[in-house]
Amino acid sequence: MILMFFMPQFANAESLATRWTTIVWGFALLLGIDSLILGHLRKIRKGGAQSIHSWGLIIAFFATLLWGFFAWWKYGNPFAPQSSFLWMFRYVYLPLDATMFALLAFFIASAAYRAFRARSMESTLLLIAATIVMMGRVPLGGAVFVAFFVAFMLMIGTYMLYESTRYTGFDRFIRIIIGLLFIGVLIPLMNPSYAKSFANFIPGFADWVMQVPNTAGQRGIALGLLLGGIAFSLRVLFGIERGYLR
Amino acid sequence: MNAAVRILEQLGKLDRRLIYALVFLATAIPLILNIKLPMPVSPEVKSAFEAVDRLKPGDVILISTDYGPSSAPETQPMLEAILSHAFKKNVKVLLMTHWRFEGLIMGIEGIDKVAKKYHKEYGKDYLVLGYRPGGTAVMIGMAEDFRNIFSTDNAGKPLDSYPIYKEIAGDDGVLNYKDIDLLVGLEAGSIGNFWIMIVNARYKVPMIMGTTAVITPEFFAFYQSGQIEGLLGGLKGAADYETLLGVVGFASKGMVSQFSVHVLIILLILLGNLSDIARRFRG
Amino acid sequence: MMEILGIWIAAFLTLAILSFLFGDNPVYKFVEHIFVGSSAAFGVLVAFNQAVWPFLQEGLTTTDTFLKVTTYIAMFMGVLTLFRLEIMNFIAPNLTWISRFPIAFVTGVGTGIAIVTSIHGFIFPQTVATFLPLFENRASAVEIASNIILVIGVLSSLYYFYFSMEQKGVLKGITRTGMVIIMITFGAAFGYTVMARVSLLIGRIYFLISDWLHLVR
Repeated sequence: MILMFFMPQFANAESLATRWTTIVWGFALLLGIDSLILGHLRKIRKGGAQSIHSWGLIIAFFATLLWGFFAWWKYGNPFAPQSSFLWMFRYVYLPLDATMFALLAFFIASAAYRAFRARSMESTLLLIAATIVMMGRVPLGGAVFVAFFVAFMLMIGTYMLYESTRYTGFDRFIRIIIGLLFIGVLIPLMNPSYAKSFANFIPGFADWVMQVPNTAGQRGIALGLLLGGIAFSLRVLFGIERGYLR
Repeated sequence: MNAAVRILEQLGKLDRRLIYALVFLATAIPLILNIKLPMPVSPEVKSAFEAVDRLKPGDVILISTDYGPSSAPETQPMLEAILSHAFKKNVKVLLMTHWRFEGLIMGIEGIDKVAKKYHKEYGKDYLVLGYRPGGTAVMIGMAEDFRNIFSTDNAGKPLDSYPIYKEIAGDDGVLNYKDIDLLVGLEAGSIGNFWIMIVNARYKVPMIMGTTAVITPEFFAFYQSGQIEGLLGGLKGAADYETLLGVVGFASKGMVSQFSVHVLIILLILLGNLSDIARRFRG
Repeated sequence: MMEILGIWIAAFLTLAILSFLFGDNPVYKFVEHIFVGSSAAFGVLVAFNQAVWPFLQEGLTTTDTFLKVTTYIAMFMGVLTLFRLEIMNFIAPNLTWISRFPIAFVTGVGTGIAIVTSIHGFIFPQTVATFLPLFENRASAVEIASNIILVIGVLSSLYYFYFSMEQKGVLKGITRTGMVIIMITFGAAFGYTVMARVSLLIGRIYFLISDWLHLVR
């Protein structure tokens, strides 16, 4: 394939090789399915309470398959727009697949609540970037971001002022100053028009975050991965890496 | 002070089922109330819209629907919006997928629905090429002649038996990337990168991408480099496209729920952190 | 009629999967098995309908001898992959190795494509797009700053990824910058992941309250 890229006269060979790959892939789609079915048939033979699930799997498999081949015979193609087989996809396959992934919304909320701790500079940065993006991408997000910002600054300011009571001398002074600074930042926001322009600034700022720092980071990571990937591909081609044959 | 600290600490131990219930309500209530709120359109969606808008009647777009039900709430509205836009402009549409069979069926469902609305005819105004496995091999194999990979369309007939084929294949009678004016990749996985890395880089086909939000950050690198002309990221991208098109579809309806759940999740993170601070404060 | 029945079945299946939130239960487990079974059947159907049959049909009908022969060769290679099937253990137990030929061929084509395209389609254009002219005519201050951040960001995050040895002085500064950029990137990625998951839930709940319960239309 590398040769074909550099030498256009190999273009025909390239078409052929890619066509063959597609055909072989078609057969490869069948791999694994028989072990799944055989495995569950074995479970059914063993019996027990769990075998009801295996029955469900086997019946679903053959029902879908039979319906599909029936629709192929009747409509000329199981996936024709008028085919009754699409009912199976629309009302059985689709809700199952889609809902399984929808569960992740609950899990990500719960996990974020329990595990997302801004304990270091790194994680705080991550949290701030995430908040900007999440708020910059929804209607009203800017206004709510301002509210979060005010709450966050007040919180840190108050915490610093409270902390200062534990210290004396310069340590106390510096904490009072930092605390007042955090709260002081909020004073301009008491002017509604400033607060409004701050809120309107957030969606554009989220765009900027995606287009500049995010692009830079993604590109750095991708370049790193691809350089590694090329090294791996060369190992495969020269037969140093043979895991895929097993 | 101590009482406040203790309450905060307790707030860090909410039951997980309560959180699930909150997430459910935050999603369902705005949908039931059917609220819609305006929001600014992202620049990358605007350029995607313009790329489709520049097409002239008779131009050809190739849409690749490489996603399944697991990401359809994000990508299906994109498909429907882009198809409506294309059909309104009398652009010819070819549909295919190289990813999984789900993409094929999602694509058929989408194009069938929108084509009926605009009274478009199969084989004349649009064609469903079908699904072929092989990913990158499919993309390169199509370069010389689409028939190299798609010997038949989804209905099982040769591609050149349709009037649309003669119209778009041009004088040479061969349909390949040269005849495609815009490629739209609706992607749920990173294999979508290869549309850009192969078909744009080698065959210079202009393209826009509509991606699920999970992989959208990756694609910003391609947008910045100009390898893709526009990018629709997640439900927000679809909603922006609907806004530009002037229709209210599923994506626009869903954005308020998106907002309320985002706020809820950030509040939960803040609550978790506050309670963490409180716990450390006490001991 | 079929549609109403379908919507009720779909609603039941949706709720059955959502019941997993209250812990693993038999109903969830059962519909999960149904999903796996029907998914496998779809796989078989699609393999025959979209990949094997169209090519076989072309091989049978074409008058082009070259096309005919090459299609049959590919088909034969495809059949060889089937020696990997578990069923083959009953028919021809010691012939699994035959499937290595087509798999090696497919892997070879795949890696060949991957090498060329990642250099030509990613590394070159992405590098070119990083080092933009800084002071183009009428570039605003924000644009200039963005371009500088882009260059520094790409280089430092690449560096951060590549070298994990002990660093001092300037190098430490570079890794630190790389870390900041990577953390912003991960933050953005986290935000977008949340967005995606929430969208999927919106899709399901919209189905329940709109198609099933008709609370909105």
